[in-house]
Amino acid sequence: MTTELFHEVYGSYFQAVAFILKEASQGTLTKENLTRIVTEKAFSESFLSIPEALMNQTWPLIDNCCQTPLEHSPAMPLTTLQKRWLKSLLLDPRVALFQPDISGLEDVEPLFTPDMIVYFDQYGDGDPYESAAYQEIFRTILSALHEKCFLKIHLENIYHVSHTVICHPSHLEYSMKDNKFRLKTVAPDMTINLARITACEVTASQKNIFPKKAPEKQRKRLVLDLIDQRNALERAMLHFSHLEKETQRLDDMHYQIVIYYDAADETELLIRVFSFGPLIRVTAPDEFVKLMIDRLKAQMDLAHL
Amino acid sequence: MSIRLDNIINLRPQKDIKNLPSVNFQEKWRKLESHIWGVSLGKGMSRPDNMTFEHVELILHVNENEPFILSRLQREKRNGHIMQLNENTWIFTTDVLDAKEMLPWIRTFTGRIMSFTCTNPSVTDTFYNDLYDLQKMYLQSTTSAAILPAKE
Repeated sequence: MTTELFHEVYGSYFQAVAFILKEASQGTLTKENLTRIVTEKAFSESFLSIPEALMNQTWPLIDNCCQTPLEHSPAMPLTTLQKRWLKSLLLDPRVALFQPDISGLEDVEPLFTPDMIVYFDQYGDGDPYESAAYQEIFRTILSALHEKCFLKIHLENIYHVSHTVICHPSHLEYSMKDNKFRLKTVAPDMTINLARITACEVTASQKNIFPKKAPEKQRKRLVLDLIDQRNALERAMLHFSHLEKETQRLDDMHYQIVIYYDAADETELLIRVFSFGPLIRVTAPDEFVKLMIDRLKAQMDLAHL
Repeated sequence: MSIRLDNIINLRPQKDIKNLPSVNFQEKWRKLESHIWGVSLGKGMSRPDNMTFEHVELILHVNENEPFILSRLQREKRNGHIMQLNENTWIFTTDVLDAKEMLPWIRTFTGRIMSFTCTNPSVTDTFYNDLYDLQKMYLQSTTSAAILPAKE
């Protein structure tokens, strides 16, 4: 197929006609839904040209009874460029954990390889995606998530103390900055770094008691005043982009930002606020202001040493 | 120079640029990459054969029951070295092209910083001036003690 990024077969005219032919090959096409498809899928002027060209046999693709002589439904082939891009994505060891079907791409040259990308702000202790043990744990978890089963997980904490938990896996999440997968569980409500799991096994299918929704987290509210110097506003928007927030402009230089966060993330948020120095001031709640003051007092004591 | 893609308004390939020096960018990059903290190359790309780095030293107080601080230092540093000075004192040193980029990260250790120095005095000054402003912001009403080392 073509190496061009833009080609007429990928345009809305071709796609509209392909959709019509698909319905015709299934025997569900009528003159009414032909008109509807063109209205929905193509540009407005096509309303005149496409139905006419099909019905008067200028394009001999359907007959007066809306039947098509085509033996197969039209398929949209991937361009070589799309295939090369897909191949590049599939080379990513994180994507490989999901064992995607790569058939049809065996002889395709990737558009780029993972070593060509520099993650300048990514931490250095990412998960060991190439490790066979990690891959096995990851796939066991995936299987438990699909089958809605309990998991028995053996893990090691930061102090290298081992313990075992039995839990309901809820979902996996990935942090680009940490370069880590985390497993969120319910009953008990936990977040487990996959790299800390030393072994895990599916215990039993428990569809009936699997909770539909994780319990509500304790959500807290933080109010910040920001001075927009040294590009602080843009940095804050990027830095806190993953959190629910409201930002209000007070004047040319000053903004108020209200952030909603999980209580469990408070220490992380505290150090993130400190990273802005005096360009962000915490105004509420008092307990968070006290945390700031305690850290500053500790800093003062250390500077006196 | 490094440019954020979302800051580019428009660009066009330029042909027939006269007097373009023959440059091996990959070679240049290899020399620089272990000295970049964020995205700034400082003056490194314009004179890679005569690079001057900004030396940074961060001394931290870490209690025995706080292995997570060392763990964070280890995983979040993008280059440089960590060394234990005594039981509770650790030093992180690095040489970077633009130390100013490190300040937000350095500030995340507020409460544990015994000393911060940089061979670029404007970076050291910015760090301590910011700390002074934070002190005024949060502590002025509760204490008048200076948190800054006496200026020479």
